[in-house]
Amino acid sequence: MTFHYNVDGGYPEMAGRASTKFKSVLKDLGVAPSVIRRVSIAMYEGEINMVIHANGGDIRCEVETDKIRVVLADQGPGIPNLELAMQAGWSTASQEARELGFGAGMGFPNMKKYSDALDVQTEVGVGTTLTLDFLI
Amino acid sequence: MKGTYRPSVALIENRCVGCTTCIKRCPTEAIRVRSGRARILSDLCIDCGMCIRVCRHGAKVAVTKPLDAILATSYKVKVALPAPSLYSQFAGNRNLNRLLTALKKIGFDEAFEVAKGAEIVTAESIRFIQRKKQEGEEGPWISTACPAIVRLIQVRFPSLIDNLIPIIPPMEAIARMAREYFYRQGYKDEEIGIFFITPCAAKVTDVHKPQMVDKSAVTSAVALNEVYFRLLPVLKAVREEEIEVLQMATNQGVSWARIGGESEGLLLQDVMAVDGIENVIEVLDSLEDGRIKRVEFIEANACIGGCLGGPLAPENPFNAKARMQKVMRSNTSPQLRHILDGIDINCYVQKQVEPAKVLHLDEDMAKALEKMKQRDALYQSLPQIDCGSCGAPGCEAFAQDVVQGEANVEDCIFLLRDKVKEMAQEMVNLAAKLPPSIKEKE
Repeated sequence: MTFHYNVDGGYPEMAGRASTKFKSVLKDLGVAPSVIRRVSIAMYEGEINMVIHANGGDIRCEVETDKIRVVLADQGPGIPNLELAMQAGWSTASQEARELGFGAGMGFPNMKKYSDALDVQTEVGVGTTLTLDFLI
Repeated sequence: MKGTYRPSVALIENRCVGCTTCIKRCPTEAIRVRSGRARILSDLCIDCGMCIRVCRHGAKVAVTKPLDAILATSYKVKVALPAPSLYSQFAGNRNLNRLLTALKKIGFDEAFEVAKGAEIVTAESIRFIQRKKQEGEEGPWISTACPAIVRLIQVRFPSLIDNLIPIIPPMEAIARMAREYFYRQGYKDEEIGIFFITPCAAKVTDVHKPQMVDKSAVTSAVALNEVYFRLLPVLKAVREEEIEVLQMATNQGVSWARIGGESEGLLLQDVMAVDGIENVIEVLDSLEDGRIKRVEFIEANACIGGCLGGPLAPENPFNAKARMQKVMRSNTSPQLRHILDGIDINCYVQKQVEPAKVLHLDEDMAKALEKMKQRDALYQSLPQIDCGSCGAPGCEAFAQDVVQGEANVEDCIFLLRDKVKEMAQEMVNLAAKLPPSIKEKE
């Protein structure tokens, strides 16, 4: 079953709503609490990244009996140096976003840590697509 | 797991008019109007008491033991355990010894402060958090003092169960100390009656069906508002020379009556205190998503203002909070009674809090997915205005009820009207179809 969420980057205070909605779907489905927690943390990080860097984007969540896939696609600036972005503590967050409490530089490290597989497709000037897989 | 929870919030059938007030406000959507009455779904109820507070007809109540029934029991010793929230209810009284003396005057043999239990719990919590920190566990630990929050976590945030601090609530701590004290005086277990004066329904359930211990040391719970009205005249009549030194707790324990009291006592750098069930849900959602960082302890109370804002506290929480400040200012160096000194109890929980599996659409994932598809499809066909006429709090809950076989599609008055319209049209169409005999005539 597939769920779509549109993330509007113009409203940073709305950031996190998609993660919260999807979390409640997973609870209704009876997914194990430990898995729900991993999905929530990783998806939230991805959603926030979209708002900070790409002015929003689209999230597609696919749930199967044994697997959850979260695909976050944006048409933002792309990531020039992926290796650097994957490092803990590295951050490009604007002062404004940091004031909202974002930009600790744990986005990618957390997404990697809490998912079972993370795939990043990015092209400068075109956009970024993240695919996170979680085994149930 | 289904059917094991028995809430202490109950419905007085003949007072309920079947309106939508409580179903709309219930934070876990645990009420449905059926046959004109707002019925509680026990598996979803967390005993927060929101419905007691919002019902304009007084149809939702907490099931407590009547005071006279308690005083008529045959226990050799009857101990009152006043919650510190009781102290904030009286306009004129700042003298806690007077209040505790008045409790004995209305018929209890002893009055042991729950605030004393709170101090014991604080001391143990400090030790626990320190030890865990040394082991590399940073928390945040969530307080178990509010049973509605423990239950909320079981029902809606099972992934946070491991964050609950495994320490018993103050009520249980002081009740255990009281029992131990009377054992030492030669009393047998069955001769000791221990009665908690409760500001809420959740704590009543915590007495009858505790989540963290096998059996509560408390015998039963009496409503704070009932005790309040009995105490009022007696309190005024207590003469200065009659006042006994009964106080056992300092302001540290007393401050647990209001939100913030518990977490301040832990002397930690990073604590959070959140009150009001909707606010708590927001915080727990953030915690689950990893959005709350560098917090060591979360004190969460279902009621606005903390326990002094409980549904069974007669005073409004803000007035109670203001009075509490006055009580605490007059109580900075009280003379204390030390009879419980040297009584050590085990403050750790006896059993792990279990997740409630009530939210699941189905135990089988494939079936759950199928039901979710049906639910979403049905929701799309609903008006989505959450009118409540079907007896569910909103269209989403209604769609779920239908998929689970608890409601019928026709219960939605909008869908019903569409169907009636369709049928009416069909009748008109049918009426237009004339038999050949008449047609020829025309």
